[in-house]
Amino acid sequence: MIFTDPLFLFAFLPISLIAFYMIAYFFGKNYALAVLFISSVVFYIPYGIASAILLILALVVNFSVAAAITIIGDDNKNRRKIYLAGQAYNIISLCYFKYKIITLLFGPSAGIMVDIAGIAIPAGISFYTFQGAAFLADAYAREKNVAQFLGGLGSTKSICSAFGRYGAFVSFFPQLIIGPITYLSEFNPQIQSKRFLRLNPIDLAVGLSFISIGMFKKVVIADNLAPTVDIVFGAAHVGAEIHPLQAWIGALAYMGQLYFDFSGYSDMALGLARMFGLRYPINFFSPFKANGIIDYYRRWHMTLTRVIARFLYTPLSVAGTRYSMFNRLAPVPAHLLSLWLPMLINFQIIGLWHGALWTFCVFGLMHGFWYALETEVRATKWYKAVKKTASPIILGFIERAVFFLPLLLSLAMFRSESVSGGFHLFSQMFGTAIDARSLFNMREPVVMLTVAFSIIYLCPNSVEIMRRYRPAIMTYENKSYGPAFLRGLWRPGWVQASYISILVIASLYYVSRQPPFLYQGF
Amino acid sequence: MSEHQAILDKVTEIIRDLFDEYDGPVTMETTANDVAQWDSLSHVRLMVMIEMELGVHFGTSEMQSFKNLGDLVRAAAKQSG
Repeated sequence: MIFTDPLFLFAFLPISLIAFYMIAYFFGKNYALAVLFISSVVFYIPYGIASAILLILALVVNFSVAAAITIIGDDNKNRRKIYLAGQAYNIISLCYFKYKIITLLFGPSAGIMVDIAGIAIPAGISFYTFQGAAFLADAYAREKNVAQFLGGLGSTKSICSAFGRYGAFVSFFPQLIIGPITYLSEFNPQIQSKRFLRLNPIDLAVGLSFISIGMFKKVVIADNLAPTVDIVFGAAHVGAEIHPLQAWIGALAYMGQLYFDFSGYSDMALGLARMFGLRYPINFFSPFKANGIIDYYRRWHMTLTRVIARFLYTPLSVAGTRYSMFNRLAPVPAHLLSLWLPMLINFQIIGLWHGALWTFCVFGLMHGFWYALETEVRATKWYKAVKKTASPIILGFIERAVFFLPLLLSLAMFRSESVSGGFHLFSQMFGTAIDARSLFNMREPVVMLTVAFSIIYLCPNSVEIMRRYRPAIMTYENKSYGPAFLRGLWRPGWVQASYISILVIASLYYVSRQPPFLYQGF
Repeated sequence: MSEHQAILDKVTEIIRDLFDEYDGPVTMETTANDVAQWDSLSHVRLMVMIEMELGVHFGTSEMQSFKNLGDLVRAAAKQSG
């Protein structure tokens, strides 16, 4: 099911909410969490029985390994082996089911990505695998939440209820398909709290508001930018001549589409979880307001950034730094080993995480070089002197201006149907094909783009609007930008209810079209 | 306690050398936020320099878990003690 499906919104959600709060009232926490787990599996079944079996298998394997390494003492040598076997399962199943097509190594059918059994990539596999892997790492490090969360594992009943809790944590439907990738240290304290399971009207109000805002972003803004994007990128793929203005509109429209698609999803995920009384980590915080690529990755898909930084970049960088310091390498090779190489690998993995396509490879390279370069520039004495003397407003404006074009081009490459199509689009954007045949009527896309980019740059984001109600767990501290007079605060009331109703009505008008979320494919 | 102080003294020396623009106090409560030059990149460098100086070894997740210098000093003391 997808969040904008009326069946989900008007049948699945109310039924699971009522079941959750009723079971919680009569039978308590373990049964309520089991309801979340079961409803999440029901939510997942439309993605395919084979995928659902794989999900359950991943849960069983990870839970068993986590339970084993929690029970076994540190002095037992098998503890590390069991842990590594669990992580090997995660890595292998991810590589096999998501990238088995890699055997055809970026062949022409790579875009279809169908596995040998003929099923598509299991939905959400990278998200639940990462969440399970992070849980295992926490269990191995004996993070204090893990033992409390699993509880005593002495009887069959206690094992079953621990598995129910674990299943709810990893597969909870608001975050199962597209994240946010959540740590147990964020989830466990909430379910241990006395407030958990109590039906609180403000949770429903905040949750429904988030769902409404998110749905509007997705079905009204993102989906209305999609046709223009499809036309321009389709034309670029076949090498057609494109009027520079229309090429720019196409690239900008994709920027807007991706932004509102993912932002809309993230809002809906926060809202859905909140209706069950749970807060999730924030995944998306006005990324286009960033002042550079470093800031961008603290605002865009933040829970992926932190999980990749934790498991990939930092270990690589530590290894590179250790090697270069122990061997007293000269500054340049030392820097290559401790910064550039880990950074390039990090972004190559982020790129390929979206799928095995050359366009994602090029995107990863672009962002890897850019991130490393920006790190170097910000570390120079020259930049630090400029930062000390220049006006922060002017410097911020210049940084954002410098940031915009590479971001636009890299996202255009990300969307392109082929690398050559991407470069062709760049050539048309900076080209002179002013006599090219018009691909589409520009009035509507220009209006949509104006609306979209005004919201992006001028309005507070939904977490800021809702900040009175602590809508999300902050993954990174981010500065808030935009005109102060637009930073309204949401609170329950008739005026706010009318705004939300307008969003809902507009969304329902468009909802019948139902294109899937872009991140669903990653 | 004196062992902690001895470790902190050595760490202070490394911090003065690595973060040469910082001249504020270095205490058990000092965090990365107090020192402008102390970013994620220099954090790794600092950790490895401390490892080499004190002959200890930190895991990567341990390096990221230190909330202030006090945590680091205590972890180092635990290993050398």
